[in-house]
Amino acid sequence: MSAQTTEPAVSAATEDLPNGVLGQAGELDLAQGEDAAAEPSVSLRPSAAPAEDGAVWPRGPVPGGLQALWTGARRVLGRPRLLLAMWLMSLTFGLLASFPVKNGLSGLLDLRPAATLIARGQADVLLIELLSDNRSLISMAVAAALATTLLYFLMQLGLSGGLLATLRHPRHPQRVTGSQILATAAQTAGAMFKLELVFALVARLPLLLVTGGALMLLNREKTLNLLSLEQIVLRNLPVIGLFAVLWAMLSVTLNHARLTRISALHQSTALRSTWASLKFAFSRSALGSVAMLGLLSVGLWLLLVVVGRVIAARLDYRLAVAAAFGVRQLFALLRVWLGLSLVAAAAELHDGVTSDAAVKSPAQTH
Amino acid sequence: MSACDLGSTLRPPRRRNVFFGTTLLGLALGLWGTMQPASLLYAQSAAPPSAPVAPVTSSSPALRVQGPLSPRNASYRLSASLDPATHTVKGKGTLVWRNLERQPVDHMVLHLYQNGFKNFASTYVREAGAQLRGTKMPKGGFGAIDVTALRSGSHDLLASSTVVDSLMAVPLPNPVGPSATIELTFEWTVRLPHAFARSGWAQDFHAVSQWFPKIGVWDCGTSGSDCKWRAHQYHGFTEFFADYGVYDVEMSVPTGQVLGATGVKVGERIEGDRTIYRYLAEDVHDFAWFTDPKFVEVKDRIDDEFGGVEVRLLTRAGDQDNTPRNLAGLRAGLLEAERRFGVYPYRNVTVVIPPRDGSGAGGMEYPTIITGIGAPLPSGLHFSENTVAHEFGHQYFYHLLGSDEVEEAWLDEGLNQTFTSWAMERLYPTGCTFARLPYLCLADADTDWLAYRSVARRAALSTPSYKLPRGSYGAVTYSQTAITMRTLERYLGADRMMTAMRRYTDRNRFRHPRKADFVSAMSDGAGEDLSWYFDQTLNTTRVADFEISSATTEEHEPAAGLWDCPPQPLPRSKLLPRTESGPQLEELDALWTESVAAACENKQSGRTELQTSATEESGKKAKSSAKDKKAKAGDSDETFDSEVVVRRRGELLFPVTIKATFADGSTVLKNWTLAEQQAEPENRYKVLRFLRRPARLERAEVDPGHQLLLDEKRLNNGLLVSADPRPVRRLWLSWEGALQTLLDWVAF
Repeated sequence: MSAQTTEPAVSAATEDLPNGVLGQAGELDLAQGEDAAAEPSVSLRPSAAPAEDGAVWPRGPVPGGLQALWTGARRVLGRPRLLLAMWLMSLTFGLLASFPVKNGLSGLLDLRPAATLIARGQADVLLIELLSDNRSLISMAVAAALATTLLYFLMQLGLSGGLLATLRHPRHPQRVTGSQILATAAQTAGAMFKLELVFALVARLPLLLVTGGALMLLNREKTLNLLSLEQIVLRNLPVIGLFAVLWAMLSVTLNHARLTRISALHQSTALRSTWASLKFAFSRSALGSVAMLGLLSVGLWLLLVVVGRVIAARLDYRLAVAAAFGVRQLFALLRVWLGLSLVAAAAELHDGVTSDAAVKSPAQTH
Repeated sequence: MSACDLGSTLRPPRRRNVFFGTTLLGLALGLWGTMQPASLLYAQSAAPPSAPVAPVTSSSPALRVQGPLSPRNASYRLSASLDPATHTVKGKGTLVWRNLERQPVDHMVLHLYQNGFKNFASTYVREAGAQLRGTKMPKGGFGAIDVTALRSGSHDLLASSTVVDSLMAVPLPNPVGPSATIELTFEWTVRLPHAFARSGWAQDFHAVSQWFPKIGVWDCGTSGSDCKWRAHQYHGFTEFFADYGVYDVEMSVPTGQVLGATGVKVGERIEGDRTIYRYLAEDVHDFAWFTDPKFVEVKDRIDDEFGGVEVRLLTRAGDQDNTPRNLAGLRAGLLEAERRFGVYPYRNVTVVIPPRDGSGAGGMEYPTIITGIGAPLPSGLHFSENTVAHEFGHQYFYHLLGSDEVEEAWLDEGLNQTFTSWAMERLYPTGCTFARLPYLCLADADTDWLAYRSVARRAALSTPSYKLPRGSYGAVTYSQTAITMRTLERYLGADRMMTAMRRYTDRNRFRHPRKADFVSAMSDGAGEDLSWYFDQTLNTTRVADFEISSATTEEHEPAAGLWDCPPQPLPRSKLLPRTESGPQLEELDALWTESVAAACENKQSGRTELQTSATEESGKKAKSSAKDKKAKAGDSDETFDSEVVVRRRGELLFPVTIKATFADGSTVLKNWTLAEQQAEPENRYKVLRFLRRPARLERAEVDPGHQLLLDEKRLNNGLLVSADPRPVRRLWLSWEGALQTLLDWVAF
């Protein structure tokens, strides 16, 4: 393997990154310790260094948001097993979380003719009777939902490093394949947890506080006393909409921070990665793309949720349980695809636009 | 022709009959006359019959129909001046009061309602906790009323009067005899509280209600001798009660204030920087007024068969979006009330929408003026319309039917809550009258039922309001009454219910009806003695709950066991009466005949044993289950025996229908009658058998027509023989889908 390297096409964005994160020569092996030399470790090298086959990864310009999402979506479609696995995980956790509710309801409704009316949504008052007479069902459902959500969140957090690594450009030197996802995830899990915490404190919490403060200011009692419902909604909707988009942008930025962290696992810190990514996200070259991704993510997500529920509700009315379930899972699959596409899009933003031609073999670089 | 002439033309036996008939009729009339309450007699002598069907054109500015409509025994001429800066009203006036009873009275009792907000030691605050419907008294928001002068002629009555909390006892120099009149002159000052409990102020807005010394009701009961002033302290969860009269009121306010009041405006003049409005109200038992310089006035008119009613709506600019909804509620309320209860006799109605920081004054009724709510609500939540329709309904239940809101609040709030649901059904005939939101449809009857469930068994409807358990006033008085009435409607049918209610309202307009008046009018109007219903629902805490306890079905077989062959005639003995009778006995006889025939088929004389699936071993039972499947598929000529057990878990006795539905689509209806329940009130079970039917029982339901809205639990009203997991699956997977959405959002 040639030791020569070509100078990477470093984008302006990466030049802004602090030293020690990128741009350093030499390999950084994650698999440290006694077995480092023995086992074929996943090597998360700086992108300036050549890949194992000698190919070079020049970082290109930051792609547009739509382009990044489109590329990401195609990349995910090219990984059907990953997509299906993520969807199955979501389904499994959903079923596990909802099973206590099923068991509780069976005992109460399986022998009741009125259950059909409740299921069709034709007897809301009976549903209220059921819930008010069986409040333990509500607490059980909520407890199961919360516990499962937390577990799921932590699990996804742990997997995030592996997911990001596998959704990079197919020829990216730090990309991992299916069998290596879990290993990469395990190696990076600790870092991801710390990063999540730091990011929440540095970015998400301030956004929540600012939005909360803005809503409180807009909805002071004196003001509310003078406004009609329409006016109140029109005042608050932009704030809530902006919050949703900013939150989605932060999610994109978080994935960027994760990649930054992974790329320099032992040289960077969670705080530095967070700061670097926030600077990147709000830099002139990237802000438009990140904002577009945020908008697309909110819009598409809402569309999938609303359309999915409307179609499923109509099937529910007819008690076409299997069909409604099928529709729900189809839309769940679409949501997972969207989510993974956004992760891949974040990887695109991090790595920059790269064409295959730019990824030259060592022979071509001479 | 004289009675003697009449008698001489008849043969002697008929003469005797006529004499006896006339005597009996005279006795009956006399008896009827003595049984009427004295007040009714005096009222009749003072006022013509009420509720004219075709009103005579009235010359009164306030009435659409020819008055007087009421006894008018408590009339006021008042003059008041509002100081918006200090939120005080200074007033002076006269009260002309006439004793309607047969007993003289030597003292008077006046209500000083505003003293309920004077301090935390008042009855009101101690019971309600310085709040109403969740709106708390702000800091320093106290109120009070002080009578500064009180005279009757040359007699100064103030010195000898005693004020205890919100009541003032005034000894009189001379008793006021039956039908006699006394005139009082008085002066007073009211410091209005900050609006949290109906009256008060909120910045520039003033709700001036219960603002003057108001005389109580002198009542000697049905006997005519049990006399007392029906005047209670201002309790935490009670309202008001007074006699009818004419109110002639002048109100002085700073110019620029927009004012709305009871009655009609008959004068307006400007004196300096103040405007003085004069309002006249006839045949009313209260007077309230509202001012706000920020009010916007909206005028409307509701046309009806009696010439139309002028509408004036006062609201602030920020709440104008709600005006169409408020007017829609008013229109539905007025037209439905007239359809059911007869003419609204006044020329106008005013709707006041208090500002949101004065919302404590909202949702309230006064003669010809009501208050709505100014909250910004989505159009699918019909609370604005509901409130206005409800408050208008009070023009009937509380005003035209002047029941005692303290002792029998259910007679106004409860009947009005019932009326409100009717008015909302008029406004929203397709249903979801209370709320139509995504994933939620609720009718007013639904919300009343849910509220009733929360207080079932706590108190009887006839409990005086101030004795109701804390926190139950609203649900008991409003909702429990409404559900009771709606159940009665379903039992009687809509037409009979309407006739019965109309009988009540026609009989008791401008009177003070009580529970007995209501029950007798309803029974008369319905053409049926309803005491069995009202005794339970008004006077007890009995709750209704019927359930299908079990529903089973099995293949019909002859009775297994030992039989003597050849078959003998069925044994009968007069010395051994059977417990079964009618169809049940016939079925038992048929079973006996069938079983002995099956047992003796191809058998020798003597005793033989008949085996069926009930006695066969398990291997042979498998064959039986194969037969079952054939039977279920309708491929065989098997018949089935089914049994349904109905349980009356609640204490309320009510006739119910039980419906059994079979696999072939056929249904059978059976009744558990009131007579059966009354005969054995401690027998909580009824067993119904359906023998030798061609199909299996699928389900059983008690009260399938949902007549018994009072049924505390509706889910247990039906039972399937075999479980149907589809509805639960649908609910479960819907919940699962929502959870998955959450998980997906959390993951990415």
